[in-house]
Amino acid sequence: MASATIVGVLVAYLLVLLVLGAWAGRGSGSVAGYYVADKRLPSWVIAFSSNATGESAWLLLGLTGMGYTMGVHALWIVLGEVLGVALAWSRVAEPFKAWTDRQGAITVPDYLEARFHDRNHVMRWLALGIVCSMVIAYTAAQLTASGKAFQSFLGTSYATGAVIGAAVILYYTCVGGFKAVAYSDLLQGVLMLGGLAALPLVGLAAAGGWGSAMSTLAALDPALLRPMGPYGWSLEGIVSVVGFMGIGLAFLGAPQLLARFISARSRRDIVDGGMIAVICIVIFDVGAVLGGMAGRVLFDGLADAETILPTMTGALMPALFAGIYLVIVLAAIMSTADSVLILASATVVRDVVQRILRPDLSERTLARLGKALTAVLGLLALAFALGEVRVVFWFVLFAWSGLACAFTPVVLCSLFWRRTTRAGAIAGMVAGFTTAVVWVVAFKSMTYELYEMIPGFAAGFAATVGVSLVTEPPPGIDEEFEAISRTLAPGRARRGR
Amino acid sequence: MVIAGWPLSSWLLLAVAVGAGTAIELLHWLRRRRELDDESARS
Repeated sequence: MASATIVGVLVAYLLVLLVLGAWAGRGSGSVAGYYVADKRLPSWVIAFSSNATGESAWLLLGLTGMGYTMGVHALWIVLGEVLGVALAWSRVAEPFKAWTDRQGAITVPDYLEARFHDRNHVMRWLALGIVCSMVIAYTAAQLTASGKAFQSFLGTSYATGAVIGAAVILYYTCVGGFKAVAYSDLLQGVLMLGGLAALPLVGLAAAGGWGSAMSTLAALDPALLRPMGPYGWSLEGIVSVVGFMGIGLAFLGAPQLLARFISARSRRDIVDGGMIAVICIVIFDVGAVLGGMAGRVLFDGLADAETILPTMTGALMPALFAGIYLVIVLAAIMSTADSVLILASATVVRDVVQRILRPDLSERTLARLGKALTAVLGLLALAFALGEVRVVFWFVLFAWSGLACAFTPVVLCSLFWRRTTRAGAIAGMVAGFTTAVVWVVAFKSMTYELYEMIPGFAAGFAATVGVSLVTEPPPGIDEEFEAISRTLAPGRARRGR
Repeated sequence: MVIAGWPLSSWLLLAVAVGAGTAIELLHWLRRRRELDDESARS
């Protein structure tokens, strides 16, 4: 009976996604329609889509696990992520939108090529290599998580879960394009928000209320209630804090998140979207950490802390809600997988085929090619997930940070430092990406597990600034910056004259 | 000092974690809304 209820909730959710795909498919006949929904998305959609994309299943399984093992110390992740989201929406989103609208850009490589007058398309080819290698690995990991979620919640085989997850994602992403991805993210984000708001309330109520739960945690381990956790004010503790806060840096310029700013309907939607995104991320993160802490009170001694969420829902909630939480975990998986898949498809079709190899192809042909390529990339990721190919999971270790380190320092310098040059930007992309990879492989274990985002960002910024200082910025850049300033604040520009 | 089961330093971390980013975004939102309203009124 319980299983039938869970299956019923799951089937209803998957049907909604299929309907969304069919609905969004009507506007996906052109390249801009397929990849940025013709830049017509409202504030609620871009805000929830950005957060649901930025937070994969890691939020539900990993961050609750952090709350479980580290307690209050995990709040440093909340600080990093909330600051990252707030700064992205308040400082990056509007200038980036203004630049991309002015250039007619619909991808990050589009923007970088126009910003740096990169006539040899070096940045597009570089972006292609980085995005495709990372995205296939990242999607494979999300499909693996889908297989495991079906296995643990429903008892199906791992392969069945991975195939069902892939089939649904590929249907609505191929048919509906970015519009389907963004609106499904809205639905998925709302589900994640409700689930994570309820989790600590249910957990703390079951643990006898706040006072009783905190007394139990203090008795289990007093470090669970201290900001520096088990490390205290040691070098290891400070490295842990810096790494935790570094998780939020990716929100400032990961290409799959910047695509949400490009697709916004207007600057007013970006302004409103920022407030929604920050409130949403606060509830996501605080709910996950406090939920994990409540879970520690109730289920101390779990072999794998990342199973605390399914453990809590299975033990504390009726079958209907267990089904809803399975859907929420799947929502987190799908909202990330669909977004990175369409990012890779755009990088191939828009950045390479349309802009370099075959500019003569019609919009309709290119949109069809984009749909086909999305399917191919997804099937490739599914094959890796089913084969449990080890090298893929080695890539997954730095897929999120590698993408962020390759693009974010360069995008930030390009938006706020007019002296940034093409050579500096190329050097920054290469240095940021390779440093993140090399750090994971060679140095991470020697440095108290310092998160690779920190050295990756430092190297990306250093290379961009260092090389820019010894090379010439593109001609006419002052005029372009002035034009952007006038677009962003016409009132202020008038008063300043 | 312990308040409601948590050391004061932990409450401060929670307040900063939630409040810092929210304050930045709230101030930005209020300022930009006013500027965009002014722009709309002028045009």
